[in-house]
Amino acid sequence: MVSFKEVKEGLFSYEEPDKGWVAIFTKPQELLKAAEKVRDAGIKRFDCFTPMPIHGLDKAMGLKRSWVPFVTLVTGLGMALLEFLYILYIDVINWPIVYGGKPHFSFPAYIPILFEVTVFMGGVCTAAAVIVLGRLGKINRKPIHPRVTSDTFALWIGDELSRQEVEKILSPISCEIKPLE
Amino acid sequence: MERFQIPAQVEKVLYGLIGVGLLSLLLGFIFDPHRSWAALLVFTIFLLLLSLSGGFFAAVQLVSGAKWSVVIRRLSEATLAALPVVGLGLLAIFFGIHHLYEWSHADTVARDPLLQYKAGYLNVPFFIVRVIIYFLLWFFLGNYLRHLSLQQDTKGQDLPRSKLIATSAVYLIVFAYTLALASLDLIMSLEPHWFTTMFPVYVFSGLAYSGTSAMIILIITIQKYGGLKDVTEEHLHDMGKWLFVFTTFWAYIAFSQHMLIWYANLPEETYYLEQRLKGVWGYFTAFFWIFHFVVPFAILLQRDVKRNPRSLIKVAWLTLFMGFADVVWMVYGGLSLPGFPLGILELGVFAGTVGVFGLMVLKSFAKYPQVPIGDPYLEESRHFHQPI
Repeated sequence: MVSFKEVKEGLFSYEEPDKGWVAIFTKPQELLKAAEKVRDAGIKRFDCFTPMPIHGLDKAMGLKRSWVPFVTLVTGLGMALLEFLYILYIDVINWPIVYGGKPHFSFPAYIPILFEVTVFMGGVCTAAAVIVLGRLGKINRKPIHPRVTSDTFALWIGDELSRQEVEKILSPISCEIKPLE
Repeated sequence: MERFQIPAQVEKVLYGLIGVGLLSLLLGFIFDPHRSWAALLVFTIFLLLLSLSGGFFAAVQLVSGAKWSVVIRRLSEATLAALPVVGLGLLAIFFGIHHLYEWSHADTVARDPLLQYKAGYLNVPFFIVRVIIYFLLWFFLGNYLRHLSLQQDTKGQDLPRSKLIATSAVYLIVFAYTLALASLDLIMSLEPHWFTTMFPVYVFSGLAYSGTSAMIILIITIQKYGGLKDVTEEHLHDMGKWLFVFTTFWAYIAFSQHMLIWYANLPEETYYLEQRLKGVWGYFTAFFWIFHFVVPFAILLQRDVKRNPRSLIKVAWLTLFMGFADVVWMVYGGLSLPGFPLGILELGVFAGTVGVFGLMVLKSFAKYPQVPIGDPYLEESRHFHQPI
């Protein structure tokens, strides 16, 4: 079984680039190699910024599996349970009415509603979780490089290192290294 | 491209399974002919579902332009090779019509106003003609699709892809109509007084469910003996998802049918379920819901299971057997046979079906290159990756 701490760390793994170093690349292959080197150097806080999805980048960065599916499962099942209790309260306790000669507690009639609530609330809560966990609402972020959304690839290292150490990790890949303000 | 060689060990096991199936049917016909005719019908229908599922899969992948599945398309087309045995089974069923279908007895029809009303459609000559037409359509259209796909190996890009896609589209339409009508004729007419509008969809969901299980078992077995090297755990992951989809789809369709019957509470609909819920059948139906849906659903929800061949093949064997139990559930329920519906005879017939299907498909698969070497998307399919 997974511990609560593991789930929490997995969910809140996003790091906002605040200080440290940025390496700028012009080719995706260079970024892939650099990400592998940074991962192997044991650096904890780093992230990649690319204009398009790059195959194999998540592996090169050593990213673990996302915990968002866990959110879908828990919220879907939890909301379905709440919905079940709600129907039960209305149909059996608060306002019992006979429909079509069926007993007050008719489980087959609840299944479509429970199914819909599981799917719908699972979907809505997943979308909400992605927005919250990925900090998608923040709009006043300073771009890490002006052309990182068109033809430039950037790698941010947040650990406290000197310029020589960063250069040593990334060599011999050709890149431009500058501090992040 | 290297051809696949069926290992002698596997071939021996498959012939053994066929022997078990034949022996159980033979003993069945000596001791309990009524039940054995039903078992023969179950065998024919289950083999039919398995062999049509591959053609359906290949056609869907071609029409939708899917690229990930190119490396397993040859295997899915090979399942059509089991159709000749289905033809033999259907031929045998023609001799047992009077043991199986109550509308085939003139005296029963004379006493029954509803059957008289339906006699224009449900009569022996028309039944035989219809079944022969379905079979010829499946056989020739399926083989034409396979023939075109095999031509790609030599012609490559000279064979226009639009021709493959158009043939697949026609195949899918014909498949949908013939499967719907065949499920009404072969299975639902066992209980000609029952009304439902969801039966063909239910049979189709069973087809996709058991067909996907069979394909997963074939892929993993072939890989174990050194074939299909291009199929990686990424492709298996997608096949696992495909199985997961149809586990859910089956439950959705089955529940929809049962809930409508439960809600409306009409005697001409409810007796179908009542027969399947009283006495020993109640346990069978409960067993069925747990192992056909709940257990595979919970297991296949996990990503690691779908990516590990050793765990995936275990789930696939369970779902294949439950797909068989589904056919038994549909066929046996209407015939008021005594005893538990999954007895020694039925287990023997299951073994026989697996043996016949495995042998026919593997033999046909071994004749041609293991992947469509002329397909322009082959290289892309080899490098297919799932996101983390």
